[in-house]
Amino acid sequence: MRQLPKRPKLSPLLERRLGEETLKITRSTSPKEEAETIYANSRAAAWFKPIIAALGKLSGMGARCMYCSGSESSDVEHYRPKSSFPEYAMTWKNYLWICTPCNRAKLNQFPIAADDSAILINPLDENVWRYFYIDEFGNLSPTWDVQRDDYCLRGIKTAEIIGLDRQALQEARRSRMDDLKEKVGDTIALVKANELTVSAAKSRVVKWRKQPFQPDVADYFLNGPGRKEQPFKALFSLLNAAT
Amino acid sequence: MYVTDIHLENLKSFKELKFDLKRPDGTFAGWTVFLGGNSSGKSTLLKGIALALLGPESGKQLLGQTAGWIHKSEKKAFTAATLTCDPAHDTFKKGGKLTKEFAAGVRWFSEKEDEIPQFRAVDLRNANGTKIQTSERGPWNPNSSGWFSAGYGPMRRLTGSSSESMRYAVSKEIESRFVTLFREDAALSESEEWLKKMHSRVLESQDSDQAQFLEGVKSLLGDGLLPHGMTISRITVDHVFVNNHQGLELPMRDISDGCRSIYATILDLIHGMYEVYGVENLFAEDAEGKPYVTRPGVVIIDEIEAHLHPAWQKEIPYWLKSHFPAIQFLVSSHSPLIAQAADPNGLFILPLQDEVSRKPRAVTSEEFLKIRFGRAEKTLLGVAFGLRTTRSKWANQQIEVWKKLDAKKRAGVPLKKDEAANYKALKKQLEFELEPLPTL
Repeated sequence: MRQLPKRPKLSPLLERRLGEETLKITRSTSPKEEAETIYANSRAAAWFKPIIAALGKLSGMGARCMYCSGSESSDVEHYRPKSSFPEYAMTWKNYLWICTPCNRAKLNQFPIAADDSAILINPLDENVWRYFYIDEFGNLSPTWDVQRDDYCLRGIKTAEIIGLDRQALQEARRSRMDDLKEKVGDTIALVKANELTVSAAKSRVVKWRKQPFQPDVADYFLNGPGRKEQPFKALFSLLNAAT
Repeated sequence: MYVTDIHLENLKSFKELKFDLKRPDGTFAGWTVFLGGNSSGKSTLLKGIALALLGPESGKQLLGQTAGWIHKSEKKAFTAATLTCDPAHDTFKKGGKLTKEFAAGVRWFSEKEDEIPQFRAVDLRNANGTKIQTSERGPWNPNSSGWFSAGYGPMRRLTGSSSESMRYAVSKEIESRFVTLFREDAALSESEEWLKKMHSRVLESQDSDQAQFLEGVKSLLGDGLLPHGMTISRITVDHVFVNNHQGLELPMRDISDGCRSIYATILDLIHGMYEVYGVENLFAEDAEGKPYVTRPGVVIIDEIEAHLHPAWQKEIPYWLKSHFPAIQFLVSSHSPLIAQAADPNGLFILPLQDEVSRKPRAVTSEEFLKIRFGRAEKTLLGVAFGLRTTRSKWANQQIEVWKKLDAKKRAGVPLKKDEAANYKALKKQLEFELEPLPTL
């Protein structure tokens, strides 16, 4: 997971089309089956393409999965499963961009809390670093809830449902993190030795943020709470002191 | 002959399966692997391909009984393949127009659910309603020539055939080349017997064709097939002997299970090809003087890696491909090392039966490249095998304990004395378990 840009508004034309399809579903006598058919047809239709493009754009370079940031290819996913929520099958705000392994793990799971709120975290529309952090081994761990005296509920449930502890992901995050730490260390040394200007160092950071390999790691340490950890903390204090 | 595509409908666990087996360059020979968990239907698929090659007469003999093949709550099933003939080797019995590509298939049908199903050829008709019988005149015809195919089950033993299976194994007909795929109690002992008999005939008659063949077999099996530099040293009337790395001579029957099963399979394969094609130009040598078998055909092997050490699993696909360069190998496997050797458009995934939302599919070209270039462990963790972890259950429990303590500590909650000690000890351990990987 990573902090993604704010979900933009769709064109009124597309919104109207989605609304029409939703009406067909809600007015149907078997909304669940209707949702399946309408979504499958729409997914293959030309008019749906701008939606896919918008999700791809939100996911950034490489169009990585919004949950795991891994390298498997992704597709449109319904945050609220269309089998339990057919009325949201054709709703822009219910669409995510998710890879095959995450999709296979998630299936139709969508637990609801006692107050009717969703337990599964929406990786696009929520502040994900409230619920997760990346540790020194590249594990994506849920944050601690002091009152529960356990992991925060939404974090651990989301990790379990999506399978975010997959070893392939931990290994990929670890290599991205080690690579990033090395680059940051070099950059600090070069700036201190006056061999690299502060603005050149800043454009390096901008470039790292955009790189598609396990972008959750770059987001955590360059935009998120990981900025407070070394050597990132040293880099940002160096760059900020100069301005 | 090659299999261009395969189509199963309502066959055992499969509602529908359609695989196109043509390589991107339009050829068929090489290494094609079907992956899938236990009871995902790999053996059913391989038997389905085999039955399309065998036809209803031979197929029925090997099946024994026809019940149990139709998907539950259905009344009919079929397995159909498109076959491509090789005009240089495959002949038809006369009559009708000859086609390079044609359909071949068998079907099961019953009127009522508890009835024993009928088993027949798939009914193919042209636009005028006339029956098309290309398969009956070609691959299924005992008097046509060419059309080599063979199929091997996961239990490839040299000894211990039941008498019933023996009946098929000793025949020269096509059933003998598929008997282990359909019958677990069948052994591959016949080829060794046959090799020894041929040896004694050569001694008696000085038959130059057979002598030439025997030399071909020896040089092929001696070309790096057996591990640790083992080679076939001697064929006698009683035994086939191998020399091991210490120069010790052993009868083939006394070597390891893995060696024997590979040896038995390949010997049976050559035997079958000899029966179909004869010895003339069967063997050739490449530019470097390495021996290979020239003739085409289809070879099906279920769980190719059975009994094989990983080092050998890595080697065997390449050995088979280079020594049988015109053969289309269709194999099933649970091994990433076997999967890595697949040729383009040669990897297919069968989902588990409870994964109803997934369908049998070819891996994408992107996934294929990852498997072809990647480490075996990454392949296990990737989409084709889908393992969440390759670490032990115990190791993962240790990681979970540490992660929880780490989250607590980071939240500013002081760890109890024993927790703090555990945290420290586990961290040391995790530095080994979660060691960074070499960067690319």
